Amino acid sequence: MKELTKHYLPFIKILILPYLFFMFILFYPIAYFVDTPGGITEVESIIAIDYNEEKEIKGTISSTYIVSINRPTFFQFMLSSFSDYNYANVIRGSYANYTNQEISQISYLDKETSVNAAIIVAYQNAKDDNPEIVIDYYEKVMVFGKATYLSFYDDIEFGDEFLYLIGDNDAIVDDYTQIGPNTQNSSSYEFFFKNSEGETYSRILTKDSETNLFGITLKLYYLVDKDTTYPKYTEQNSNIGGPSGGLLQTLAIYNMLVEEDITKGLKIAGTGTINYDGSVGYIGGVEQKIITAYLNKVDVFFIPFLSETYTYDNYLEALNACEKHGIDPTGWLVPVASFQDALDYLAEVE
Amino acid sequence: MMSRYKELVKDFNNDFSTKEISSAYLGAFFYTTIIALPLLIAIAQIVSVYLYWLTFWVILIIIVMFLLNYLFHRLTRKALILKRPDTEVDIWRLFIFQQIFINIFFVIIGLIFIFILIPIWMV
Repeated sequence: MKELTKHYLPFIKILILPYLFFMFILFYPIAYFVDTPGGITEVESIIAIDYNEEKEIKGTISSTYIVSINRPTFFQFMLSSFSDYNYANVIRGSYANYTNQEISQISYLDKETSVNAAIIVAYQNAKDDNPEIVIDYYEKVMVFGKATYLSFYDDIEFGDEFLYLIGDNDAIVDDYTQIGPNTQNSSSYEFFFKNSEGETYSRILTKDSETNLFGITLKLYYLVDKDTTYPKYTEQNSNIGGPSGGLLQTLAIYNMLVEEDITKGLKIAGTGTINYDGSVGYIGGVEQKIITAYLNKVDVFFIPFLSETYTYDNYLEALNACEKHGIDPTGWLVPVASFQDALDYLAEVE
Repeated sequence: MMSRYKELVKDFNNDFSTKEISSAYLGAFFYTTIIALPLLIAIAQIVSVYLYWLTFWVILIIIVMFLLNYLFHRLTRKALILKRPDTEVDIWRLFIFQQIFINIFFVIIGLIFIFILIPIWMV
């Protein structure tokens, strides 16, 4: 070792500063996000249903993912600028205050609840033709957002269940929509939560003096009761988060439940969240998803189309992306507003 | 081929002491790691931004591992020659054998990634 060091010392002296500079740009994070094209994932590889096992499914139904890098290093940021396929911008909104770990937690919470919504919608639709199918679900109000001024910020986790709070006149308020009207007389109230390990805990949350809010966002979810639902399903662990696979998950699960094969041998992909009433919701990163679909040569790509006049409508954004990258959208880019729209489209395919 | 390799190993062990060999390997490992660290982190970051060319990047990583393997053995040889300039052992020929074995290992690991691990992870 000594001999090598002595022999290469002049080189080491020259290269030490560029080396340290390179290490700096490899590790220094910047307050941006970068979206890049990702890939498609067959829903069957994530969700399996113990039903219709002899049925032959000729095509595939896949959700589309993109790679979102929050607070990339300077090097990643520079790399992203070399391709038109990538999109980089400053982190805005509530995400600017979250750590990468918190963004990841929200993303997986979104994914988990999205799969539950997909199962509920798919089972309910399949149940119309097959009374053997049973779907039961329950309500759960969970922590979905936290402001920086939230008291006990670190104690309350994303996904913790809101149970109730002790409101004005010692009233127990378990309806999250009634928190505002029942917390008028004081600035601090005791909230009760249940964490992911099933432990109940309480924290006294104080309203922020400027906003007059507690700084916590609660959201109502419907979760599947796995004990009573028939047929049983199993969900594999996935490395991909977010709710944007909802529509395609619903289609794939529905296809596993019904007798006919709705894929008709096609490579089907798409994007869009799924709501409990079967309607489809907007997603982000449309441009990168269109490129991903194009690179993966899909036959059909479903995309939310909810308004002809809204500039940021996903379908209109997708058409702009196609024009920007010289992609012909004819024949494969299919606008949908609901799960039923997607079914109707596939029913008409010869 | 194996008999030639065994012969070279025997000559090598006779010519250099364990202390000299371990010192040379340690020095080469240290400097290779210094070079490999930013290189591999940079490649990991390239992969994260251009994930849709993943298979291409895995092949590139295998090639980079070949180069790092070459560098490691080059530095080891240099250290040994600096210790014993008068050595008559054909160190580089011995190291070519070693590099081939290690490179085969890298190729196997790469193929496992491309055909088994990546399809499992990309779910």
